[in-house]
Amino acid sequence: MLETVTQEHADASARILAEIASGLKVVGPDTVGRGETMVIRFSHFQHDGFLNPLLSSFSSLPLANIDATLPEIPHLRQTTPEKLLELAGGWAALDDVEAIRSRKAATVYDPKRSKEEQPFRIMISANDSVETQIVAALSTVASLLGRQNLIRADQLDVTSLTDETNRLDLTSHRGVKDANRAFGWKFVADQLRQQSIAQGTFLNISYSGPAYSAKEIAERAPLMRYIYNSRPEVRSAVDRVVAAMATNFRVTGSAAVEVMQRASETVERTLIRKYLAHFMRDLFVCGNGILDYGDNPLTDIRLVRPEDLLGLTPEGAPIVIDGDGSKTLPKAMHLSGSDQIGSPLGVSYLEPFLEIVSERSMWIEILLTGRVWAIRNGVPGIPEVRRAIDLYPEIAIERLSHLRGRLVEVLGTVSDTFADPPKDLYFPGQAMMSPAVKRIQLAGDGAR
Amino acid sequence: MTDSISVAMLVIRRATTRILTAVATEIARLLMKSKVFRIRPRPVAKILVLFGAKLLLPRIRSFNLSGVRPSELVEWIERGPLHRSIAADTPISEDEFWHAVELLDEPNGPLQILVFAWLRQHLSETAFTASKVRDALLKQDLRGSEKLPFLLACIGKIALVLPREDASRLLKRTLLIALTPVDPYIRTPATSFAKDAVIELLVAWPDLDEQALPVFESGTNDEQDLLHSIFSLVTQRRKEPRAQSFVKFAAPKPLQGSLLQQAKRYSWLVPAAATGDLSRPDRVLRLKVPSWLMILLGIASVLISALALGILSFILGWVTPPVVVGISQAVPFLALLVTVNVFSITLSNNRLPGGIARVTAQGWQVWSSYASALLLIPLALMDNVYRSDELQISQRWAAIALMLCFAVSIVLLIPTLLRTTDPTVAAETYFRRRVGQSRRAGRRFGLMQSECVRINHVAESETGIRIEVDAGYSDRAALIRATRRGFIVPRLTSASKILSDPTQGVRELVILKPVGSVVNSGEVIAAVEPSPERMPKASTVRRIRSSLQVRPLAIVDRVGRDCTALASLCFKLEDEGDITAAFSVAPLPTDLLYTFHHSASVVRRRRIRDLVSVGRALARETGDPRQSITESDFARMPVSHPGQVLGDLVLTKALSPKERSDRSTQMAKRYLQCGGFFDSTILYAAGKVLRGPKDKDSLDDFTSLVVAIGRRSLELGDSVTWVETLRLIEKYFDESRRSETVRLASWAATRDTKFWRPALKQYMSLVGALGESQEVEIVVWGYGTIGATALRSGNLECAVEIAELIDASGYGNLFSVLQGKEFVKTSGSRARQMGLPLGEWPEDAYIDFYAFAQSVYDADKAVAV
Repeated sequence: MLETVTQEHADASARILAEIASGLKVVGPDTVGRGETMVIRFSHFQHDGFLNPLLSSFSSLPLANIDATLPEIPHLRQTTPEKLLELAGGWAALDDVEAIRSRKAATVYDPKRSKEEQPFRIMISANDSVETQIVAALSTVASLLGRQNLIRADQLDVTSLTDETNRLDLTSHRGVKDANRAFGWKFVADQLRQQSIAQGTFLNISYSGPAYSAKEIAERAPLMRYIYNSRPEVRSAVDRVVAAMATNFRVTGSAAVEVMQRASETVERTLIRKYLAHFMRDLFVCGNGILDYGDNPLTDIRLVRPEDLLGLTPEGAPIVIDGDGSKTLPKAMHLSGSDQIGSPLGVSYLEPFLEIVSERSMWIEILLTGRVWAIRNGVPGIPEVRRAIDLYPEIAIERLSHLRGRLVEVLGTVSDTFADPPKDLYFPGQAMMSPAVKRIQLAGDGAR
Repeated sequence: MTDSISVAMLVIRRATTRILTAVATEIARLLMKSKVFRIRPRPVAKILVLFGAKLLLPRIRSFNLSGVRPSELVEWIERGPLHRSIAADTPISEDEFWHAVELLDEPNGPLQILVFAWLRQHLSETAFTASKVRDALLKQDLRGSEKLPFLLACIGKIALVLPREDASRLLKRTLLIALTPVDPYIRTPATSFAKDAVIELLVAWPDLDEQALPVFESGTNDEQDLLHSIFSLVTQRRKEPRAQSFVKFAAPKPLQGSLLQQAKRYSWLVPAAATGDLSRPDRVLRLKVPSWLMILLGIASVLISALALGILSFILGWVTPPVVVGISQAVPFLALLVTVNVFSITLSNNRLPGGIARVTAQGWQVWSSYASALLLIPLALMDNVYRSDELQISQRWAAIALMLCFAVSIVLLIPTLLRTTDPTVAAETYFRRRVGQSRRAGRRFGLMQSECVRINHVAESETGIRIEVDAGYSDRAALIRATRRGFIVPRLTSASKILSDPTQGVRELVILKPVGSVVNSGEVIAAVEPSPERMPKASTVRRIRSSLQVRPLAIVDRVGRDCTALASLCFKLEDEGDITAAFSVAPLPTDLLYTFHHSASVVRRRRIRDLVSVGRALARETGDPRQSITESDFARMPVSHPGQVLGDLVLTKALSPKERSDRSTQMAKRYLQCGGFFDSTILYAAGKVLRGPKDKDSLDDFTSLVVAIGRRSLELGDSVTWVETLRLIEKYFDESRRSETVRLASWAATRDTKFWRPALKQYMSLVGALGESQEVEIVVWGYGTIGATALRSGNLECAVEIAELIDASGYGNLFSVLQGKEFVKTSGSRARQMGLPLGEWPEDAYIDFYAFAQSVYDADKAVAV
């Protein structure tokens, strides 16, 4: 599929992104209190051919609260889930509706609320050439600045939100690409710096080799599981690849027929294929898979939850949480999902979907709120509410269909080449992953 | 010579290790049994035990214990006599055995696996054991105990000695454990053993099936699923007709997943490589001294002993030799020899291909006769040169000895020469003479390949050197062309020395061909990019060129030539109608190729292992992980496969372009029929080069060749060539397409999905293309034939798919007609005519399949209702 990222390529990419970051940085003592500061961190990401090969960058939102209670929305809880499902008109599943009613969600911050310890990450695909990476990094910053400008200047007309953002993304990408080709990236970076100072959105940009620490990876695992559980397209893609990798091994060789049959029978009888399937799924969804064979592999084989992973020894043996302390598992196998530069721990391949899924959840809530208010009596007739009833559901549907397209686009078609996964790929009752959050929502950025 | 020495060394080393291990184990055993544990003071006992443990560790390691330190073992051994017995592998009584089972629940750490495996090994198949296992499983509360998996594992051994009611109760208990849901994150030691136990019980007691059946009715989907997987294994183990159990268990209740998915479970296919097996018995290595050395040694010893005899006879006052060999006697000897030799060469040339004749006409007898005749001439010439009598008499004796030597060799030579004109003997002789060279060539080739891996790895970290296949280069670049045809193996150290010197004016060296690949003479292999400031001097470019050496192809070329010579002999024999001889010659070229491959891979593997370990050590020392070559590095690197090179050689010779058509088709076919083409690369290439038939007459030849290629690719488990074959059939075949497609598809039906599905698809598209013009019975006959072979070989997935296909095409109502006597009879006779793998009575196979299809059809209908 794709070229593996070599050390040289990784070094060169890291160097150039660090340079771009320092070229864009405008934070200094003189900027304090004069506008808002966005803490941005460039990092690398490898999609290794699992996702769309054209995905050159995406943004990764910082986690705010894994178990937040959202403010109540009037009339929502009084409506039955079945009624809500009906009102959603096919845009939400029962689980989504129930999660919205329960007002429990994991929250993520938008770029404006990023902090030094919780930066807004712009992930650049390390599988691309350095030139493409430069354009991707700069155009993402350009489009981010453009969006902030739209919001700040109150120029945003919600009715044309999709068109506006699409236009913005396209023009910033083209503009950056052309200017980069004509004048070099330093010129473009300088321009963006000027723009950020002019509009009062100060950029505090840096580059970091490993995108996430072990703790962050562990914290994000329930979010990634939610993405896997809630999006059938993603689930099908992961399961196909898992099935191809874990269950397709056959017994081949040149022994006598009886021996071969006996061997394939043993593989069938022991549950090794199923353990491997779970292992591969952990790797794709949570970023790390750990299969511990224990002292006696015949009885001790088990998986270790990816959240428990603290690091690896130089020999590659995983160090995991054990009660309050930690222990090394010398007889465990560890594989990482998307490799990080400068860290042996992997990152989930599903990171790019976090933004899509959290936005989707927001628009479903807006859609439901508008429609519930429309059929409920006793809703005050103030202009905001009227707008929410008349205007927002339509925009929500437009956005939702855009997001659905975007999800398929990010996923790409690579996994379609694999056969459908068998029904008994995982252990009985383990088709969905747990523990997962019930919903992901943007923090403090609701329908109103 | 080196061969025999290394073999001998290996044998000696192995034997020594064996003996040492045995002795060590015995000493350790004695130590463990003795009263070491009661020895006071303790430190002495400790040292003795440690000594014993050290001796024991290698033996215990066969249980795949890794990371156990002797001190840990000592600590464990000291726990008690049972521990000692297990470690020293000494027999214990049945009572003690059940005490030892209790050890499983102790914290044994990494030695747990030893206890587990040892107990399983020493379990006796008696009624006493059976009652013990039964009591433990039925009466004790074993939750959380490590004994549970062990006891479940015992059931396989005692299932047959159990009374029936016990078996029934145990089945109930084990089924319950087997059906417990598994959380992969929590250790569930018993589940897979419980599943195993259920299978063993059901295999031993077929009438217990009824007991498990209620789960099919009442269980959840997951439970039913598990039961299906159990029953598919039970069917396999009982050697029951699979179709029957499938119809019994799966077909009526295809609740979860489709019928097809269930059928896949019940299909147990012979793994593909088992029949298309590449490994053949390696020829026994014999101690073999090269023949020229033997001749030299022989003649030298003759000469020396003759001289000694001469000196002795002179001293003792014996008479001078009765015959004096003068020049007039010596020359006719030589003339006689030349005549015999020329005559025999002419004779073999008439009957054998030139290459083989030349080699086989050169036995050791020829060399020794020539050597003695030629040595005789100077001896005869020197007859009167000597001043001293001693020397003269010795010389005369020596001449007589040589003459005798000559006479003996020529007497031996004539029958040999006559015999080697016999083609089979000649081929064997040729093979024997060449196999060593082929092995050496393989070794050199393997070395070269591993060298290429190293070069690739070094090039990655070397600045200024880049290996990029078919990369672009600037117009200022100096191009380096290959000076001859061969393998490209650059010497990077000298190149990098030049590159690191900035005054040389070289910015970068781009190697444009994969290292280790074959390049033609004059082909551009690299580009020297000059630095922006200055151009490199001509001498610098020349030095770089000389570092990019192209190794001659001769090492593998020779093997290819040998194979071709033997193959063409095989063709020739077949042309002359000597089929038996042709068949005995046919395996030789492939054996030669195999020897080459084998020794190449052995050397390659060894070298790569060395490189990996050296790289690792280097990485540890320098702290730079890039230093270490990993196995994955090796997999990623482009090193041309020996099959490619040899396939190329054999093919270009066997199927030379100027006569690539009917003649080449015939040749390739014969080669194939004689059992050649064991390498699928060559096979694939053969499929690729084949052109369509010119006229109607050559169609038959072409057809049978394509079918033969298809069959061979099935045997080799090579799906790429298989698809290629199907493509050929689709492209060129006309009226014979249907029967050939059916023939190939029915062969494929005994194989993996990746083989039968494309074939079935092709038949479907054929049926679709022919449309209304064909008779229904013919269409169904095709499906029926493929289905019947599938069913016969146990490929239920394929059989069910075909049954559903027949149903979907609207022929489902025909099943009763199809099972009719008339139809089955015609199908059967046709199958026999075509030589399909349907057994002695194809009619039965057809009837079985249609009945099976009928039941699947009925099951489908029942589910639909």
